Amino acid sequence: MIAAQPTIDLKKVRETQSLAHERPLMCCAASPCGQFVAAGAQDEQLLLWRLDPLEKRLVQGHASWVSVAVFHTDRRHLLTGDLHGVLRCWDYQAVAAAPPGSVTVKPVWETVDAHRWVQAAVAHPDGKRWITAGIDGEIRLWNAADGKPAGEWRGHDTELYSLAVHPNGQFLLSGDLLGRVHIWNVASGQIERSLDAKPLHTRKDDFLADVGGARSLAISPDGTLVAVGGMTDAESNTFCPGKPAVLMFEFSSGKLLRTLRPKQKSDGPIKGLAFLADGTLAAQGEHLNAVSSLEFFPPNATESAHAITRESGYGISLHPDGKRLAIPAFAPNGRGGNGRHANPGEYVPNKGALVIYQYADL
Amino acid sequence: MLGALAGGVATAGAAQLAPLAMPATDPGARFNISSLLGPAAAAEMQRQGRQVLFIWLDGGISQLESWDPKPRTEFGGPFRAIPTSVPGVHFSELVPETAKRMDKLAVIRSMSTKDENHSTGVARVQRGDPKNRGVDYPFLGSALAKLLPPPANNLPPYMHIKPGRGGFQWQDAGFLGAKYGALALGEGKPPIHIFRPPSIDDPRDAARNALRRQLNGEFRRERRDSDVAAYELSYDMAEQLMKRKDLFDDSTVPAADVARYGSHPLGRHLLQARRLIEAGVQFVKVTSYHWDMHGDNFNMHRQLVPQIDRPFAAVIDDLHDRGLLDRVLVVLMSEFGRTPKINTRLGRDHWPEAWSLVLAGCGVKRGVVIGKTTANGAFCDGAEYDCGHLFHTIFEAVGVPSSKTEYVNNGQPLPIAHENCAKIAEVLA
Repeated sequence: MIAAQPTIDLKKVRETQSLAHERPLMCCAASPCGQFVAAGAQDEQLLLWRLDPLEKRLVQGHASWVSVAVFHTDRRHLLTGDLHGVLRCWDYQAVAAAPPGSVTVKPVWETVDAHRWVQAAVAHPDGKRWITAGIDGEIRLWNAADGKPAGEWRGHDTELYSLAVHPNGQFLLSGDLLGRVHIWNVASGQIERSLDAKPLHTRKDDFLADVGGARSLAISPDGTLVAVGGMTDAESNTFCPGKPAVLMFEFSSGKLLRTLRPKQKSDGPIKGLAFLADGTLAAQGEHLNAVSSLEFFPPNATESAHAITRESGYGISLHPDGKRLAIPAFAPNGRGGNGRHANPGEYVPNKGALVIYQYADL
Repeated sequence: MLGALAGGVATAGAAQLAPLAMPATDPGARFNISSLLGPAAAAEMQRQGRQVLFIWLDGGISQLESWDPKPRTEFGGPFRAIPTSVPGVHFSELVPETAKRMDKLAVIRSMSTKDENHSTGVARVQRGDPKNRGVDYPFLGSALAKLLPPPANNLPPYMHIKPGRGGFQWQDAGFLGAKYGALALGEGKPPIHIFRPPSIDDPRDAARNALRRQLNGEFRRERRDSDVAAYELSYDMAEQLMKRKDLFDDSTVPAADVARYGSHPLGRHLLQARRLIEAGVQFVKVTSYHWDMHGDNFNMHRQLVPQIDRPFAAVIDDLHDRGLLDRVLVVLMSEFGRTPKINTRLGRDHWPEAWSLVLAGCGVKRGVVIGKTTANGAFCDGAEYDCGHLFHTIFEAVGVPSSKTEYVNNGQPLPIAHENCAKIAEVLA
């Protein structure tokens, strides 16, 4: 069971690094060895930072936004996916061996048309396969060695946004646009049961589209809790504003235990979730006016105990040292909003940053 | 029923319809197309029977996710560009069906309208006049209800299919007067009360109408004639619509058509619009709301754009197959485009500086792209066109000489399109 009281002093949480990039980052992952953080960007690049000494390498090859980056536990391979449905498996040690800067390296393998958009990926608990999910509603398995198709699990009939593997390795959880979270038996590939996170989906009569979804998933280290992130009560399909929320379920019963709301006023979905070692839940969201927050919910709490205001972030990855976490983030650049507000030469794209927070003494 | 017209304003509800003709007593109606062009030319315009299908995506469809993709550029977004039926012309992968019909379309990629606000942008673009003249210009549908010869079918010349409630939209007419307003069909349904109660037979109906006309005649002696005329004409058109209930009988629509257009509102409304165009309605406007993706732009465009792509392709096919593209002008546009810059919520905001629209049908070239944007899509590269240019072009396409025709409002001559703008010659056939 998770601790009844948090053991992490949230007052010590602080930003320790903000690693700039020319475009917003869409995803990130810390390597199992702890030396690297990989990120995918809107400029179609895979970024690989070595943390100490700090070095940045940029790998081209994708032809659309890089939406997924996941390390394998073999400490050698890294899977990336993009919004053209392409998967690429990299030998990240080979990338790291190249001089910092732009790196020309071929992927170990590549699969095109894996999905229409790749939205999520995890390593299969057996270590021999990758599991991916996309907006085509499909969960697909791929041989880790060569990228050949290794199975397909069907059970969602709408877009998928999130995947998570249960700590016991027996279950995979998948979350979709309609707020359904299926719990799959990894051995059989069958749905065992589902969690009802439908409040995270909104489709009013005058909407032209479904809004929301189970945008993020996390399972507590002891496997007893499932956190599903997104937003409730979307007001429109235009600004897509809603009330950011995390639905906390008991894994064993599927019962909704509580709904967590961020302390800071923000209007976008929770896109990053991670349980810290003591059961504290970290949640990262978006906000249209660029003021979002990284929030920390102690075990059993319904309210955030600590909030750090910052630009929108699109995920969370825990560092294996148990003391740091990374956020793939947005960084404003020049004036935005409606209209020009700048001369042609001054109209520039927004930037990104990999932001690293430390929540315990190193 | 007479009480429905309060202060010269026809209210929503029953079949209160717009005009059939341009009575000389109307202050906004001194102009007569035959007086300008001569009887022969006016007769030719009448014979040509030009019509317009005007599709309005309220807010702004992203030009980068539709007609002017810039993949793999700093503002390009995640989608691919795909080839169209015209070599060298590419659209976003979100409009594959329209891409196959590019050979029937004219795409303007250098609209630059400068107004970034909904509150003023909608009226400015749809009234077509960038200049504040102290009067409310008519929306395009009202303008053409005035400028085109009245159709022989006596159907309301300006009908507006929209989500939500219907009614009579007198405001669209601006200074032309209420009778040039739009008959709005909420959800594409006919006006309520279009079906005469069974208890009222023909003689009784005729007697009631005669009484109404008599009372209206007495009522108008002390009041502005145009208001009463608009109200009376609404009844006349109601009578015509009552004879065409078939236009709203969904049971006659082939299931294959429903499948091609789609069951979502825009699909249903464009199919209904096609039926009205086939019946000869002069100007049919179809509005779809909620095209304003400040947040989650790419997921929303991925869901929304197919809702215009498929039915738009279907209506182009159907008009072409029926030989109607030679006399029907189709316009597909928004208030503005969307910012190249992608915001923190992965949205795009309002961008009037450089955006695209699509034309097809009578009077316009087929398979052409007019204007271009910079490599990153942010600004026009070369000539820019405002809504004044667009109105000149639309008027010319349907046969109205835009620079030689004027409204006369209470004795004041007013250009039908901005005098500092001109038609976009490259668009016109």
